[in-house]
Amino acid sequence: MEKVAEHSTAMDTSQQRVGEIYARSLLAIGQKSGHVDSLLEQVQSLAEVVAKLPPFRALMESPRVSFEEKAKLIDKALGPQSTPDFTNFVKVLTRKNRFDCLPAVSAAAQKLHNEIRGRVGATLITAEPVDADMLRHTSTQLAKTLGKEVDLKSQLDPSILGGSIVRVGDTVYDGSAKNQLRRARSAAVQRAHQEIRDSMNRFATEN
Amino acid sequence: MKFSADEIASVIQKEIEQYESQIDVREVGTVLEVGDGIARVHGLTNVASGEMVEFAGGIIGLAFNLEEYSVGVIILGDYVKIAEGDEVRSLGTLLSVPVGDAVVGRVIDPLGNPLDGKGPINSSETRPVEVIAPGVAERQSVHEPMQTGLKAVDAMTPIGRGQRELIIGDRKTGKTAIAIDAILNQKETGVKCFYVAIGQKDSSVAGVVKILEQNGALAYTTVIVSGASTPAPLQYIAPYAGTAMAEHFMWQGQHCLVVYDDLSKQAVAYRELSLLMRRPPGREAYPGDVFYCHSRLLERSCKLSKALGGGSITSLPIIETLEGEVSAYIPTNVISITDGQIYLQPDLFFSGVRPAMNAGISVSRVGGAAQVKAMKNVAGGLRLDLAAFRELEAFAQLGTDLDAMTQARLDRGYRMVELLKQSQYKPLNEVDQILVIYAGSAGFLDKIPVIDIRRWEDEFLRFVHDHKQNVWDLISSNKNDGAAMKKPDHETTKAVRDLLSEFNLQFRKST
Repeated sequence: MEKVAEHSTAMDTSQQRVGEIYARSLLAIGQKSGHVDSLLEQVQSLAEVVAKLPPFRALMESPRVSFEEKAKLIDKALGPQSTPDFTNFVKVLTRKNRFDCLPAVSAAAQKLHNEIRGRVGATLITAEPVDADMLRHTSTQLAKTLGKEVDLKSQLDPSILGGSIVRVGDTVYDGSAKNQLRRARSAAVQRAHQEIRDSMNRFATEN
Repeated sequence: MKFSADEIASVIQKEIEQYESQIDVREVGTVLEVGDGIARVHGLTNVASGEMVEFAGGIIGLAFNLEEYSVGVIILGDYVKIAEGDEVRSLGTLLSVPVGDAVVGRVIDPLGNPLDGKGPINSSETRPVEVIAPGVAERQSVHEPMQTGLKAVDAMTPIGRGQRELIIGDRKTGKTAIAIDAILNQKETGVKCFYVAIGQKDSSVAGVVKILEQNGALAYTTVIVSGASTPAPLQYIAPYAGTAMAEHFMWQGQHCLVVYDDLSKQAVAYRELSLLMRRPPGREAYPGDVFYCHSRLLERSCKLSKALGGGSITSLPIIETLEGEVSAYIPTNVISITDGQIYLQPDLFFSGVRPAMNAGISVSRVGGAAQVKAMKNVAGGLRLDLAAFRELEAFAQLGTDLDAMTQARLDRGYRMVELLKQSQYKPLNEVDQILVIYAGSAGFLDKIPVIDIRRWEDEFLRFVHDHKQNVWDLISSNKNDGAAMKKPDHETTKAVRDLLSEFNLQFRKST
């Protein structure tokens, strides 16, 4: 069976809608108390942890477990390393039966925060691992082109063979060897096709 | 014949040498779900409605629904090969189809791919499938005739070039037959024909193609097929694609005839798409814009102004009714959009009146201005007379004694009905039509028994062509004279009357 792509974004559009609303309120809390970055970091790390612990997620989403028990579990799990604001936020999320929207909240909060600061998130996909220098260089170049500051993340994908792909939002700047080869191939085929159509006699020989 | 590999290799080598690497910038999305000919896509933030998108593997789609968090795409191809998570890229263009002489005489699918095994469509020109119809200033009123070759249609509901005339009726009442006859009659007129088959059995379409081929009509006809087994998106765009191909010729000043067979199936395909896209259902579960779906299609059939070359697209949309129900949603919509309708009735069809046209409720709203003058003079009151005859006939069945005048009107009516019958795939020249209809309406057939009428017609026309070609030529040259066949002392009228009297003397009635 073919490999199905994994999505980094929240793919359930109804969750995404809810996530945006919660993310907006989370950011508002952060702006009020001045801890936006810490809140973002916490929501992101919680989302990552939950993704790795399906039983925990199932428990938190289960309607058979009462809210009181879930609240106790949250207190225990988040413990002292979490800020009270964030613990409360997770409790609200749980009480409203929206714990399943956590990844969507995390993604939306990151995006909204970037928007507010006038930054964009981008991904650099390469076949070989890139060093910090290269990443910084690409990031400044991108910032120049886009006119915005860029949060560049690097991602490894050997299947692109060489070169690099930069993805900013839904726009893809594809300079990968794989794509170049594909384009060269289709251009050659098309050209040959066209020339055969134009003058059949040049290519065909009797018998 | 063999291909030489060296020559092809040299072409490819040249291409590679000239190849410049460029960074490919594209806007992408990810398939969330796919099925039943549609896909929901996440991303594609800046895609426009109606824009083309490409799935992995080169399958083309159209952005159909732009929602807050996803884009609904209709897939024009094999959607089974698309998987969740696939990348979708927007192409920034509108859907286009190949046009020009290369498509004439071909059987193709709505995207312009050949289906007839006659090789690729070698066309350098394309046209967008969806365009806005020409505006008021770009048009002129319909004034040239589009002869269908059917006596009943050309006499009672004449069609002009640039007109939209609906053919409506139950299943198996001869709707397609009328359209095919109209196509066959365009031989030697230079009119390009387009037959768009939507949601039909492939066997029926094969039958139509065969008929066209046998009668030499495929040379000027394009058949656009999206059969019953093709996904709904292709059935939905087929009529627009056919119109785009016709528009190419229209803008060159040529004349086209487009048959949409049939639009009720297209409406069903559109309903399927809309419901899958979760657009709110309205009457009969059709979406709210199904009227616009048909009106924007049929508005594109028009007669262009002289300054723009005077080209035209005449369209014959076909609608299938259920149990004669013309007041259903789609029939009423299309009736109100078109410039008239030919209504076909099963009871007439089964009583042998073919084409089974109901003269009472069939109309042509603009064709009268385009009718050949001589035909207009001959057949002016025919439609109303025939409708009155049908009423009278129903009344006469009550068995009351009839006065001589009523009986005479009935007899005339029976003969006219018989005279308007016509065999399939035998379109008749306009002059021939004028002659026989004049014979009927001027009373030259009153003495001929009803059962002999069709034999009389055959023999009379043969007689004219064999012995009296001069009279035929006279009518042909005077057919656009307003007085011809109207004033009894006009030379044409006199010649025809003499001709009919002469033939009637020698016609032998069957005993």
